[in-house]
Amino acid sequence: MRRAAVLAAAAALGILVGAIATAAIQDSSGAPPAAPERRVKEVPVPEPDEHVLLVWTSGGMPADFADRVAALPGVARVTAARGDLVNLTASFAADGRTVDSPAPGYTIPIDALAFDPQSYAPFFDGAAQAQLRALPPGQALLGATSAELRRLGSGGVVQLGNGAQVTVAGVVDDEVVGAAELVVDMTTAPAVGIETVRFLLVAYSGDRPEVERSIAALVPDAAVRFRGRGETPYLRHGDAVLPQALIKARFGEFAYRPSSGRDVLEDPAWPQENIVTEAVPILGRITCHRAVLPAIEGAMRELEERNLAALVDPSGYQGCWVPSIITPGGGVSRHSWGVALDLNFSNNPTGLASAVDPRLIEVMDRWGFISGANYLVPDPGHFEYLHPPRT
Amino acid sequence: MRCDQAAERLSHELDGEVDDREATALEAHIASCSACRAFRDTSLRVRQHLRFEVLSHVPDVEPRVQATVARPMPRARWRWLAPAAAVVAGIVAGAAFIGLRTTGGPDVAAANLSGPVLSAQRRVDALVAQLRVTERGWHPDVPVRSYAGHIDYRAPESIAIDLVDDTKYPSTAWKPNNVATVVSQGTDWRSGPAACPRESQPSCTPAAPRVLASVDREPFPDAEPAPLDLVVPVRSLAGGGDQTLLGSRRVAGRSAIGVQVTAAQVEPLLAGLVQTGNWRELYPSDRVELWLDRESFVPLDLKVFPARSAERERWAAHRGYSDNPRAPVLEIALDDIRLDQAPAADAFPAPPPGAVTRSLGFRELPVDQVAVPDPGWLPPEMAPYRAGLVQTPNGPTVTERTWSDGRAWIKVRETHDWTGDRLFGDLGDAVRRIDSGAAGTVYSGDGGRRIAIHGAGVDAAVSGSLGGDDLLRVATSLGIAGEPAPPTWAEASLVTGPGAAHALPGLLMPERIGGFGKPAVRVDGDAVTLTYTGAGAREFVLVQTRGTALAPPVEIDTRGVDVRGRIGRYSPDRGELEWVERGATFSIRSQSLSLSELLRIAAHLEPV
Repeated sequence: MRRAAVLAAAAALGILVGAIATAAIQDSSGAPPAAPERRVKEVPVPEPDEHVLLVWTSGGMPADFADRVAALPGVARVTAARGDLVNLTASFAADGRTVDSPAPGYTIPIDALAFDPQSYAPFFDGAAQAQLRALPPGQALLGATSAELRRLGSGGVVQLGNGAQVTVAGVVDDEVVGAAELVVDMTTAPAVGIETVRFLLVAYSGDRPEVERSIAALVPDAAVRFRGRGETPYLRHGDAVLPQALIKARFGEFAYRPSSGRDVLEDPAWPQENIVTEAVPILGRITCHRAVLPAIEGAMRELEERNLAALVDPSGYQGCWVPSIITPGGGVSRHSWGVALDLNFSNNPTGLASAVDPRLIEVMDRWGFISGANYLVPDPGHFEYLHPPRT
Repeated sequence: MRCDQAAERLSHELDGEVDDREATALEAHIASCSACRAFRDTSLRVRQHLRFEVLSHVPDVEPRVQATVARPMPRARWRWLAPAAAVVAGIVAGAAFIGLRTTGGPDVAAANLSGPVLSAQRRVDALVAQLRVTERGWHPDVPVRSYAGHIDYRAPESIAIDLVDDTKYPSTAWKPNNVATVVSQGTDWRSGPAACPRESQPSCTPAAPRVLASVDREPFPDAEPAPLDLVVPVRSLAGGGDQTLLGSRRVAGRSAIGVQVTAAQVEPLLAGLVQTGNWRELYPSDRVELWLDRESFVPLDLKVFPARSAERERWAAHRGYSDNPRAPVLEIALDDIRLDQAPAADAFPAPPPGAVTRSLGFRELPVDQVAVPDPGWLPPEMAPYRAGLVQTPNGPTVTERTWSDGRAWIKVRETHDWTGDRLFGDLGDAVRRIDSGAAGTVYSGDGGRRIAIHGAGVDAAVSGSLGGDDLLRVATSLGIAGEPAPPTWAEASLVTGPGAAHALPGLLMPERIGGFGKPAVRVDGDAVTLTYTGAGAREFVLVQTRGTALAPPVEIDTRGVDVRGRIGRYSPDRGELEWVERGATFSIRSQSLSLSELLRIAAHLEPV
């Protein structure tokens, strides 16, 4: 009897100790972590048979440029893409329900591209290639970010300012359409209002510098930008900056209407919610998007703390929120979102070689702003949001 | 054998996957371990309660267990050995009991919850509960945020969720992430801080909340669904195949069963909570432990743990998250739960002043004034709910009727002036053509949750929270002779599996993959696209086309992986696995499945 009591007491003690210890371990660790996923057998990445080059020039390129490039030695295939800004006046879901309906007189700016599905699709892999090839005339693909902005999927309808109406055939990865918001085939492009040849994709084998030299020689008076895969996230013209869809996704989307010259008027609800005026070091009170003001303030403060404030001339500050388009018929300026600012502008007008101190470029880059100094058409006083601060 | 090993082998035993040698060792352990015996009994009870499909025969171990228990134990030589052994055994038992009780242990069993959850939704008429949410890793300066609030629900679609952020922030510059969502018949509104990138916190969040309201809201709209998965997770669990069971325990004073799923699978549930305000992101393959009320299937407790994979680490690094794999990044817990108690009269308030309001175009009408074909069949106890007309400036005139018997609902819409160039009803991309016999051709989309019929001068769509078979039965009882989609419509290129095999000889399709319905099959030239849809946001697309080489990768940061014994390529950002096999290029793509899952699907591809 006594022995049974001892055993029972020992067992009870053990249970108590085990339970408390286990509970303590669990409390401290939350819960067991997820089991590692099944081991994947790694092998060398398969090498593609050919390489891809993005080619673009500022302001468009000659209509026959693609044919001339295709005839060059070492070039296997070429496709040309057109691109322009179009204006959305309404959109409808697949069941006819109205999704977007800007106020009368206002439209939503849309970054649109056009390509030939049969020659463009082979530049992309598997699932994307099938979607691109299947794009029928009169219909459109939306980039993934655009589809989220539009709240549209297959069967949705986009109505444009020139009266054109296109049905959404599907949604594709941003990467395969340069993050464009609306993509149609070449036969549909004129009706939608897409005219300007913007960039080429070139499949080549052999020596890249030689291919680049041959292509550049075809347009001796133009500056040409070449990019390989991995050198830019989106194979499209103006690849140094964030595509418009990604700017919208991060900072919001507005409807606008023309004002005078390049100026536009935004639907007042948008600046009311997003544009604020605050004082920052060096520049004083500036008016920008509320989401970039902390970064601008951080950059200016860093310049002050490093005794580099003299690199910014407050009198050369030309504004941050300036609703406008870049050129008549061109893209929407990032100033319209209040996410770009022009510094030292009196010394750095657009189109001239950079006179900006590299230390200013370095500080601004750390805080997320790319300098226009290295644009194809240099705009050295221009700093534009590109990425979150690297601080 | 340790208790954790025993629990794992028990799981396999319940699935019939333990050989005789293992079974003997397991029985010996169970015979000497009360905690594991209790664990086994609980697992068996859970299975029986859920009436899940028994995968094969479960061996009757009872006689052997009894025999083992009855066997005389050798007498110890030392007097202290027995008490010491009792202490050790007690520690193991105590640890196992606590461990198994509070975490559910490792994978213990699998069950198909589709039937139980579809059935349970019809028993829930109301819900009132307190809500507690914990969020980790949102911002480096605010590692943990906590919220308290409540959820009120009145069948079939009135729901209010109110969360007050009670986090102690570093300073008053931080604005609380107070959020509210209210859906009440023809009106809905959401309130929360305007979106603000994490790195721009705290100053960029406006002080005043953003309030968006919709009026003239049709019942159960596809575009702005009410967060009903927070009441019963129908979209998250129905059609999900076998779920890993965690066991059963008491949660918030209620008897609960646990399942392990992924964040992608419970996306409809999570989206209902985080649809407004500023929240951290979740990775689709993050592991979710979801505990459900045993009777009603109301979610009682949910924890999201970071998945463990190179892709997840890369994803987190891009976003600046440094998640602890042992700590849940999101926890949702219900408490003070009152099922079927009517919410207070003011539980579903009108939008606050200053809300930005828009009309969704629905006009409510008496049921007898709405001309929609009467279904010849409806599930029992389905009663007419709301009816009316949707008229938008450029869209067709659509009449619709709805029925409900609690949380469950069915909607039938009809139009006579459809001018679109694809099926009416917004079926999405994954559409299946079905020959329904007497009712002609019908089309199923959104994983069977939507059915469309194109007839002579009429187009109709049926949707609802019921199973796909029930919705199909309702659709085919409308009296509309379904015709194939016209040749110019997008759905004209839909085929069946054999049709696809004709277009691409040597076509491979996955066999024996649970959790996904039949694929939508589309042929474009020699490219065959099969789209598979599962529960929640789980889906994948398999594309096969003639070819002997892959195109250069879109992503630069690709991985080389062994796929079916061949060298393949994985693009983590796009979630795409590609390889070349037998004169065809293959791509399996998903934003909601992990690389491991894609490889498993690839391994199950077989000739049609």
